Amino acid sequence: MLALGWLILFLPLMACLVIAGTTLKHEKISAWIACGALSLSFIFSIILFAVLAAQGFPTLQSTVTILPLEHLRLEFGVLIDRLSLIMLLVVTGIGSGIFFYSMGYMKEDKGYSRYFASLSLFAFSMLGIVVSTNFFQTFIFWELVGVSSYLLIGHWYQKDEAADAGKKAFITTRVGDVGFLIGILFLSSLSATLGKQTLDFQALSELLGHPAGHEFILTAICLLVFCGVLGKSAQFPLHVWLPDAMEGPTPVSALIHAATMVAAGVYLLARVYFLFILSPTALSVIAGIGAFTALIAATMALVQPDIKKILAYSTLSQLGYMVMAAGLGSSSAAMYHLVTHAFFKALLFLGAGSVIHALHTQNILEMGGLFRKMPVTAWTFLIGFLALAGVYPLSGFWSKDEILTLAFTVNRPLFWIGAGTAFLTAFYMGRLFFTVFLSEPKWKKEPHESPRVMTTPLLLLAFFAATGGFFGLGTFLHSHYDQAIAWNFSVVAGSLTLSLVAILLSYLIYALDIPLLKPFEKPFSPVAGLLIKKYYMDDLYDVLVKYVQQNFAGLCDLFERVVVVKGMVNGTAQLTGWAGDRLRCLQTGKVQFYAFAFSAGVTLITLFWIVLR
Amino acid sequence: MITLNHYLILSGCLFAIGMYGIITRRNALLILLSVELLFNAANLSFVAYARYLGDLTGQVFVFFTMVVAACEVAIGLAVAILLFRTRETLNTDEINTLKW
Repeated sequence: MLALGWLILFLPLMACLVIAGTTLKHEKISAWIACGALSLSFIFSIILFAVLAAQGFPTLQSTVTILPLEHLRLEFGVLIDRLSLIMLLVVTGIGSGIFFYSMGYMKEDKGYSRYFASLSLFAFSMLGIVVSTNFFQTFIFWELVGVSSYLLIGHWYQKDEAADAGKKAFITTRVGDVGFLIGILFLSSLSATLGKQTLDFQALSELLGHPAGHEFILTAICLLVFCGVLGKSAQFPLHVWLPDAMEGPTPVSALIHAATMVAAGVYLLARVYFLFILSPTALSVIAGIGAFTALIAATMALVQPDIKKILAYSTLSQLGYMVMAAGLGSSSAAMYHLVTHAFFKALLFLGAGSVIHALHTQNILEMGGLFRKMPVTAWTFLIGFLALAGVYPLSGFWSKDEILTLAFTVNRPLFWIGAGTAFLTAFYMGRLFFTVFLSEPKWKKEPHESPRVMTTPLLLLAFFAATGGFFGLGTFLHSHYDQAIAWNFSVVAGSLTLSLVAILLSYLIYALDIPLLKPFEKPFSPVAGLLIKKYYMDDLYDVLVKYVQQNFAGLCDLFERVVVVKGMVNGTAQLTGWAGDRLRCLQTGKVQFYAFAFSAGVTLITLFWIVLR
Repeated sequence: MITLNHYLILSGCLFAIGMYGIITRRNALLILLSVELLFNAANLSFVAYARYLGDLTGQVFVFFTMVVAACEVAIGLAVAILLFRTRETLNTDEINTLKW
């Protein structure tokens, strides 16, 4: 069965290599190779799931040692358990849908084959994280995901914004990854003190079963590993790259920056939850950061005019939810939300792509009235919107209310933040949906519904976004880790009411154009300015980079030029030259002088020897 | 009575004279001769000690030294002849290319 796991992992890589190596010129073939490989992976994942379901989901692992060190073996392998199975299905399933969608969306793009090669590389990297058996492998694929994300964001590299966004995404996530790497090193040495140096997840979880002492170092390790999550899952304060990453093609945003890559951080949290559970301090920090990110991202989404950026901020906000859930003690609730979110957010992004494809603009204020023109997109988008807003009985309702219930029982202040975020979410999504589909048309050229290859994935995703709560997914995940969260009726009813009120409000304001917000515009304009400026986070980073980082770099540069190069490297050479110049006077070439020096030397040494005796 | 010390003093004198010759003479042939004096100074002290200690090793060693000295003279004279052929002088002050 594990052979199937290896195959699932390496099929996309082979597709990438074949495309890059042979079929760059033949665009159709490239696309079919990429889609075929990932679809095969998807089919194999389903087979794997079915077979293992019959066996009651045993945990399987097979590893290859790639670098045997003295005390530590660096391994590469495939780990199949409930968690990775569900993630395999999500990544390959949603991935295949988006791959096929891309065929339609990217038509007539110059870098068509390159695009599919990068997509396949991404799929390979992501699957590598999913099936990873140890921290070492996770870190390698973590970085590979970063690289492929960079390639895909910068797909239209002729555009300065896209190239910059790619760099920003890569560098920002790298900042977090430094912490991640240090955390891994700490963990490896901690495991050595506990008896056996290892980075393997299963071995570590056994080893850390009874961690006598070590609380401080464990907290440090958790927070350092969480740094990686901060970067990859775009949590505050490293969230700034995700909205910019929307410069990439829309299917990329759907796949990478909504459904899979940004979820890698949450997946890692769930994967190594045995570690985080040992440090309540780290968990409360994580929960706090998650809740904070959820709230500020939702507020920033309120004022954005760009359809993809609204969805990007919404992604940030939902990732905040997941991180908060993990921090509150239920990684399975986080995973549950991850899966449902992957469905409806991919759906929303693909719907947005469909709209952009039709209108060639991303500004929602230039759209409007698309409901009749693009019925499939509109209906599926509506499902995605309601799922995200958490309306019964769509998938988002189940997972989000599980998190809210959890927060209600564990940490009341975070619950209020979560509830506020839920209200804001429903409101800004209402603003987006009603402005784009129901308000007065503002476009000039008649839009058309997208081709079948694009609408089919929409319909499939809409089906799962609608019914995701009924497959027993929550129970499936809970049985992996912890017991189910008892439903609290008042919390559920409250959050549902909040969402519905928010949707109603946004309908009144944006679809019917009733100026409810008029009296608030004036007193709240500074707040709106703050939101449009994204809380000045980007400017803050600009200042930090410009003054602090650049000056520090200049200082280092100066140190290297003056002390290292001029002083040490050139200095050594000059000193040697100078000494040689002085010493060569001794070489007179006169035999007598040599003889004299020799005898004088011998005499001196003899005298010295005698005196010392 | 001639004691060990007499031999050693003679040997020391011979060595000093040889060294003085090497340092002060400018003619390569004379320098070679002075080197021979050094050899003999050493040989003398070897023999003196051999007799004093009643051990023949020193005397045997002298034979070796003599052989080496003979070889050295052969090479030294050859060098001197070649030098004279190429430079037409044996004055060591003029033969000073052995430097930087």
